[in-house]
This record gives sequence, C-alpha cells and structure tokens, in this order.
Amino acid sequence: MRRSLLALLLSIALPASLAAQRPGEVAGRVAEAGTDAPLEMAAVELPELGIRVWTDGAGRFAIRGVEEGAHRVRVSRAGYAGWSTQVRVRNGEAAWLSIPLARDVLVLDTVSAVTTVPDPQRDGTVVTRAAIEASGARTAADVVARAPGVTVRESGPTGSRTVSIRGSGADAVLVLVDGAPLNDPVSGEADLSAVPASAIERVTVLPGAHSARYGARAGAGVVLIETRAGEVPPAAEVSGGTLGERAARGEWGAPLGRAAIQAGAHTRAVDGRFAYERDPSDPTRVHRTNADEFEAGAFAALAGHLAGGELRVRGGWETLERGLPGTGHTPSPDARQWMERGRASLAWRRGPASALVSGAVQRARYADPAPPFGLAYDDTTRVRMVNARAESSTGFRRGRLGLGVDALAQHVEAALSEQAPRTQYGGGVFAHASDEARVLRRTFALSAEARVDRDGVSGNWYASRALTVRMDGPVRVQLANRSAYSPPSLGDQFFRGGVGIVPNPGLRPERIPNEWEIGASTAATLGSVSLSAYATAYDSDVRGMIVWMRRFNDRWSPGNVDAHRRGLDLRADAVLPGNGLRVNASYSLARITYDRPGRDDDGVQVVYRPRHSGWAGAEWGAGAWRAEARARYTGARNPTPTEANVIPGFWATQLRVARDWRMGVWALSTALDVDRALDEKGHLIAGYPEPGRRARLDVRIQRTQLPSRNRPR
Amino acid sequence: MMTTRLIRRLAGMAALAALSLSAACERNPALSAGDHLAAVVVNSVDNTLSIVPLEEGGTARTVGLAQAASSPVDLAVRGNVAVVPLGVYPFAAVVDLAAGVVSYRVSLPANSGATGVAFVNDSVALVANPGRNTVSPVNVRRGQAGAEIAVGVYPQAIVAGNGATFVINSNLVNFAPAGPGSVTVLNPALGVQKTIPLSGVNPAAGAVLGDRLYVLHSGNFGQANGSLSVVNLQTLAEESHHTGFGVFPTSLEALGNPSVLYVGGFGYGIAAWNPATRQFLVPPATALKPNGIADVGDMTVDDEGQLFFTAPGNCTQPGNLYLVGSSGAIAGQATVGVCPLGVELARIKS
Repeated sequence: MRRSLLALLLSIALPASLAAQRPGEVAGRVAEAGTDAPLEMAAVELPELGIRVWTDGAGRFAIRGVEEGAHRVRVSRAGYAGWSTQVRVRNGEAAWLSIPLARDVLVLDTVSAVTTVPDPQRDGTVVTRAAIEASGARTAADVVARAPGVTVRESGPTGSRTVSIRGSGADAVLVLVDGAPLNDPVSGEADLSAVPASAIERVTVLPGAHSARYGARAGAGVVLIETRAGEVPPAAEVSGGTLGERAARGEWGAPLGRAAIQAGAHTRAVDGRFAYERDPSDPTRVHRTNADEFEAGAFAALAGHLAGGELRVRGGWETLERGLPGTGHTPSPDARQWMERGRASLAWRRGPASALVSGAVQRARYADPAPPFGLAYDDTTRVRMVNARAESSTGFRRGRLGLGVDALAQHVEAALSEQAPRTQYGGGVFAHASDEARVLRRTFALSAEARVDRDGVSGNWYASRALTVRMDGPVRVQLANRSAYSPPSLGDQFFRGGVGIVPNPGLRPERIPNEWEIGASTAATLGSVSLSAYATAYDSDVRGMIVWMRRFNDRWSPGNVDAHRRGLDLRADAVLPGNGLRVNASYSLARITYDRPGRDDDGVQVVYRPRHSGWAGAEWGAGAWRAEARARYTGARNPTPTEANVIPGFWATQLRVARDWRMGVWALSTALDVDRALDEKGHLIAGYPEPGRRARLDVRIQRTQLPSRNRPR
Repeated sequence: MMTTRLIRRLAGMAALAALSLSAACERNPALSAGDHLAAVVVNSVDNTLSIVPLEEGGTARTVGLAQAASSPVDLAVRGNVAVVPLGVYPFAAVVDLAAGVVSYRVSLPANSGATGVAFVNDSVALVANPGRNTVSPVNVRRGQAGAEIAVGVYPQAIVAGNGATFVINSNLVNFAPAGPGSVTVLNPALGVQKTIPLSGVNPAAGAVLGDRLYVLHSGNFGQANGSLSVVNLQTLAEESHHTGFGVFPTSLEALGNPSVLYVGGFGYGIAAWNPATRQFLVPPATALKPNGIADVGDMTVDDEGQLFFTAPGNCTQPGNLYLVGSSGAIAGQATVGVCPLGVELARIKS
C-alpha cells in the first residue's frame, strides 16, 4: 500500500506534460462571476463548426483541431446567463479564454432582486459540483460540514453522520434529496454518510427556522441536495487509502433526442481497523474492530422536456452495511447495520411552476447478538413513502405571489410500541409573496411566507410564518422573523421499550415561536482581489427542545427542555484570480443554553452543542495544479447538562493536492487527500475514538468531449 | 390525623432537629477547626459530585467525574476520599474532596457496569462489577484496581461492617430477577467466606446495624413485592424475611440509636421500620412525603440522627438535597446536580 501511494505521489509530482502541441486550439476556464468558483458541465460551443464540449470539475475545457480564423464561442449552463464572444484562432496556437458566468436570476422563483453574486443570507451556503470535486468530499456530510453554523455529528470514521445546525438536534434539520426527505422516518435524523459525494450536483444549506417554506422538521435549518442529472461525459474513478479504504465509481451520459440520459454506479469499502488508547484514563492500546463499512449504489437519470417544461426523472438503489463498534472503552464487536434504499423521483418545472413526485422504499436492520449491555436485539424497519409537491407563482407589478402544497404518505413496519401509527398521512399548504419598494433611493425587498401543516402522527395542525425585509445596495442587509416546528420522531415517541430505554409518547414538538435574524453581506473588488463577507446574528427561544437524557434508574429517554438559541455566523472570502488563490474563513458562535428560570444553571450550554466552531482554508490553482489546506475547529462541548465535564475543543486539518492531465479527449485527474493531517485525534462525542491521520488517493479519468451528431469531418 | 401521628412517631425516634443545612455544623462539636461537614451527592445524569457544606459560609462545589457517558448511582466516602463507580463507563472515580478534583479514574474490567461500592479500609474500596459477577478492589492511594473476586450473580451493592464485607447479589439475568438474591461474605483478606441465600427478589441495598445485616429487596419493577431480609452475622444465615415493603424501594439507611431503618425509593416517600420490634413505624402505604416530595434517591443520617435525602425529580432538571425537620417537613435544602441518586456525609479535613 505504502509503495503504491509513493508511486502515485511521484506521478503527481512529475512536471512533464502529456499534452502534445497541436494546431489551432481554443481552451479556457469557466467560473462563476463574483466568486470565481469553477463551473463544471458548462457547455462550450463553436456553433458555426458544430462543436460542443463540456467543462470538467475545474471548469476547464479545450477544443482542438480548430481552423484558423475568427470563431464565435458560446457558453451556457443551467442556472447561469449565457455568454458569447469572438475568438481568433491561429494555427499551432491555443487561444485561452477566461469566462465568467453570472447567475441567472430566473431560477430564483421567489425573489425578484437581480444579483450576480450569491447572497448567503438569501440563498444559503451553496456548494457546487466543482467545489465538491475540488474538496475531495467523500459523502454529503463532508460537503455540508463546510457551511457556517453546521456541526456534523459522527461516531467514528465509518459511523453514521448527522447534521446539527445552530445547535439543533439532528432531527430538527430537514434534508431533501431532489425534494424528497432523507430524514429517517423512525429516528427523524438524516444520515448524510449514506449519500456519496459523487452523486451530488449541488448542496444548499439554509440555516434557521424554515418551516414556513419547507414544513415539518425544518426547525433549525434545511439542507437541499440536488443530485446529478443530465448529460454527463463518461468518467471512471478509483480511490484507495488508509483504514483499508478502496472505492470505485463510474458514470456515463449521452444525448437521447432532445433529452439526456445518465447512469452511474459506485462502491466503497473501508476496513476501519486502527489502534487507539482504550480511554483517556487508560492508555492501554487496543485495536478497533467491527468498524468496517461497505456501500454500493447505482442510479439512472433522464433530463428532458415535457409540456414546455424541464423534466427530470431519477431512480437509484443504495445498499450499505457497516459495523457498529460502540465506544472505545466498551466496544460492541458484533453489532451491525444493514440498509437498502430505493428512490425514484419525477420533477417537472416550467418557469415558476414546478411539481415533484417522489417515492422511497427503505429496509434497515440493526442487530447485536451479544451487546456489552442490555439485551440482544435484531430489529428490522421497513418504510414505504410517497411524497408529492407542487407550487407555482405569478408576478404582479414588481412582486410575486406563490402557492404550494405538499403531501406525504408513509407506511412503517418497525420495532415500535403498539401505540405507534404504522400508516400516516401528512401535508401542508403554503403561500409566499414578495414585493419591492424604493425608499430613500434604496430598494427594499419584502417577502412573506406562511404555511399550515398537518402532522401525520398526532393529527395536529401547526402554523409557521416567515417575514423578511432586505435592503439592497453595496451592503445588503436582511431582517427576518420566523417561526417553525419540528415534531418528535416516531422512534422518540414509540420505540419499543427495553432495558435502559423508556419511550416517551407524551413528547411534544420542538417549537421555535419567534426567531429573529439579522444579517449583512457585501462583495467588493480591491484591485484584482474579489472580497465577499457576510454576518448573521440570530436569537430565538426553543420551546421543548428534544434532548435524550438519562433518567432515574439508569434509563434513557427523550425529553423536552426549554432553551435559548442565540448566535452569530460569520464568513469571509477573498479571491485573487491572478494568483489562482482563494482564501476563506468562517466562525460560528452558538449559545444554546438551558432555559430554567430561577435555577442556578440557567445559561449552561445544552449537551454536545459546541458554542464555538469555525474553519479557515486556502485554495490555490495554477495550470493543472490545485491545492487546498483547511483547518476546522470544533469548540468545547458539555457531554452532560453541567459545565463540570467539559470536553475541550479541537482542530482538524485537511490537505489536498491535485493535478490534471490531458490525453486527447480524455482528462486524467489525480488527487491526494489527507484528513487530520497533523494526526489530530479529537472527537466530537466522548468515548468514540478517531484514528488520526487518514490519506486517500483518487484517480479519475473523464472524457472532455461528448460525441456530437454534427461534429465536423 | 393519621399523618400527624405518623410524623410524630418518625420525628420522635429520629430526633430530628429543625435546622437548616447551613446550620447543621454548629451542632457537631466533635469537628475540629479544620474539619468541615459536608454532604457529598452523586448526580447521575450530570456525572458530577456535589459537595454541599453543612455549615454557614461554606461554598458548594461541583466535581466533574467523567466526560464519557457514565451512570454513577452510588458512592463511598472515607475521610477526604470518595469513590464513585461510573456504571456503564467501566471506571471508578477517586475524588479528593478537599481539593475538589478527581485524583484517579481507575480502570475496571470491560463491561464492568460498576455500581456498588464500600470502603474495606482506609486504602481499599471494593467496587461491584455486576456485568461480570465480580468485585474489584480499588486502591485509592495508588489509583489501581486489583484482581477481580468472583461473587454471586449481578452484585450491585456492597456493605461493610462488623469486620466483614457483604456483597449483595441481585441475581438479575437480562436485567430481570431470575430468582432470590444472595449475599457473599468476604473476610478482611477479601476471601469469600460464605454465600448466604436470601428469600427476597432483587436485593438492592443493605445496612449493618448491631449484629444484623438488613437487606432491602426492590422486588419486580412495577409490582408491590418489596421486602426485607434480616441476616444474623453470627450464624451468617438469613434469620427472617419480611414482606410488605411496597413498590420498588431502592434505598435503605440505618439509624443506630434509637434503632430505625429508613426505606425510600422513587415515588415511594420515606417509610420507617423498627428492627427491634420488626414492625413498621411508618408503613409504605403512608410513607412520609416531606412537603409532598415522594421521589427519594438516597438517604443518609448524621451523628445527630438528622435525616437527609436526595430528590432526583424527573431527572431533567437539577435535583435537591433535603434535610427533614422534626415536624416531618423540609427544614433545609440545597440545589445539586441533575438526578442526585447517592448521598453520603463526609468530614473533610482542609
């Protein structure tokens, strides 16, 4: 393994270029205007010659064999305004183009402000396909972890990974994959480690109370995952790394009439064995076992046109098996998880009107024939779910008015108590309106959202609202007031009572009755340096936050506690296009404290909610080389509802070096990714050991030109 | 009327004084100037010890026991040292009460489930490993555990007295009573002297009073089959078994003079039993609930016969340590951590 790593490292470092000199070439890079983020899958055409190519993950393209003379170049990509120019090509020379694409405001159906720079207050933190590839992310959890205010909760390198936003529980964050909920119907939590990064086109993280738009479980934030669809050039990738990690994936795409089809498959396995000290109080070295993981999946997608609109159909199947090794001091060597999930969705959009129907079937089994504590278990959960959503909006003067409806039908067979409803129907109706006003030569955008939901378990109705005022200008300022709710999960209420676990059918939903949020963002250019920054502060009470607690007689049970939620998210980016350098940093303060009037402990941070977190990173690209260094800080946590057992904060660093190679119509990318590069072993949850430094090498080959039906002979 | 009579009986035998916690120290003239009487409370959800001074001007302290998920429910105190088994976290915390810090976290065998504890001498405390049907001697001066000693099935409480150590074996299999419990008697050299079969189900606590060992049986969860065994320490045999101890009592505390056994539990209140007459002074059906508080985590009495108890509440918010006054009402209280389940008194030398 070590020898092969060395060989690949050497191959990255070799300065020689495989690209041969060629007559007449148009090459360049396509990036997002304002942020300079590379754009993948932008179509670059020489329309008069009938040539069309797509950019790669670094936003690069090359069209070879171009005749001498002036040619028109046209660039397009969904979600961005088109761009064209004339370029003069000389024999034996390459004409280089640096192409900025501005975001197309038409895709934002609920806002009317025109901007060329993503506004994190309004649009959330957006991670594009190019950024995902450049980051070396393995799963959706790695992608989401880069958003300010987000804490990814994990129990070891191969365990499930759930997301907490602004100090929430994992079941108060709604995760939508192509519009369909990823949250487990029993636990309410979304395991982002089950979504491979290779399948993702774009991720958007919207912190804050968003039930008024997205419904139940969006009490602390929403994560929107858009999977890849459409025409994708053939590509294959293999990876290998420490902990016995090996992975392979392939994808293929082709035009099909006016549509495009795409298919892909992936597999990944990790042995997960490493040595660690049994406990901070016991330096005995032991080996982590039962920490292996295997996952595989396949998908197919079709993107085309129907009834004057854009149609996307997608289906996929995933399987996962992993060991559940337990804590380091009291491991569970026999506990296992198996999961199989099938998904299908059909989405249609025409202008502001859209409709989505999605379905999912899932089978999850958890078993431990010999647990270190408690009784042996072998539980299987089967879920069938259908979700439908439709919305549209219409313009009036400078504003828009929209309406939408969604519905969910779900059937669960699980190890729940007899009180648990097996079949449930829920849904909601929502409306939103936005308008603009000019006051004191400033443009103010106002938006209002309201929603009513019926909870499928309790049958209760819940109302949510959001009011937002935004002032545009060199510094955009936004003030929002929202309410939200997040119902208890089926598991929290009705799990089958057993040793050490007590159900709580009386659990109430988490309510955020009144969240205030104010933020400001700006973007500017100083010389050749593009700068952007934003800051958001929030303040809300959480009524009945659902927290698992140990009760009398050594039994665990979920309970409702009141809490204050106050904090601040900061982020700053600087792009130096001339140097190919981009630096960024974020910091989050999250004061999530118990609200116990009259008690001495009012103000104690809620368990496992780090008050401080953040990261700083730098990305550099020059020619075929790319490099990134990033350090992430997870602040001190209270493992218990007191400040007497504080777990100190820790840093984790990540390094990534990549090089691209050109071989005719093929592009070869090699990347070395080192996580916890300084061998940091800090872990979020006490008792779950981390292996320290992990390395992985990715080798990817991708065709840069798609077969075209009217290519020149 | 009945309540008033019961309260008077309880108050008379316990000789409780209506003093607040902060005033209690004034009535302990045996304490030297450097001594401080404190209640030491183990808070199970917090994983902390609360050290509550029982004298004016003292400042309560909180000592964190562990960062990892633990489940401490019991403690033993001798001098300035407290030992707290950490339950599902297989370690025992040795706490320096004067400094208010954990001196050692002593590693116990995997899957220990460390629960009961008692001091054998000034250096060694015995910790029960119910997950392994053993006990481990813990040297509090060195911070090390010795070789395990095999005892009965599911030991979860340990009592020391009369020159011997008594390990109370609950006989739980898969956390449910598999039959009557037993007591393993260890000699001063920690050798197994005898195993005494008991008649009750799910023995959970014990106390030595005179030449008798009293063992409280919780019974089955949710059933009213709590009971009490009386073990003759001369013959090392169960002398009698008494039923009628209600629904799941968990705590037993003995007062020497006059002799009385206090019995408590979650939702149970405080009952009183006279070991001399072997009759209830306050039966479980009319157990004392000071100021309406029925949730009793643990109890202890001081040299003056004052009764203290912890009230865990619903274990989601900080609980309380209470002093019961002679009227049967709360005479003093202090807020402690979340889910206080164990309490002992300590004379802490500064």
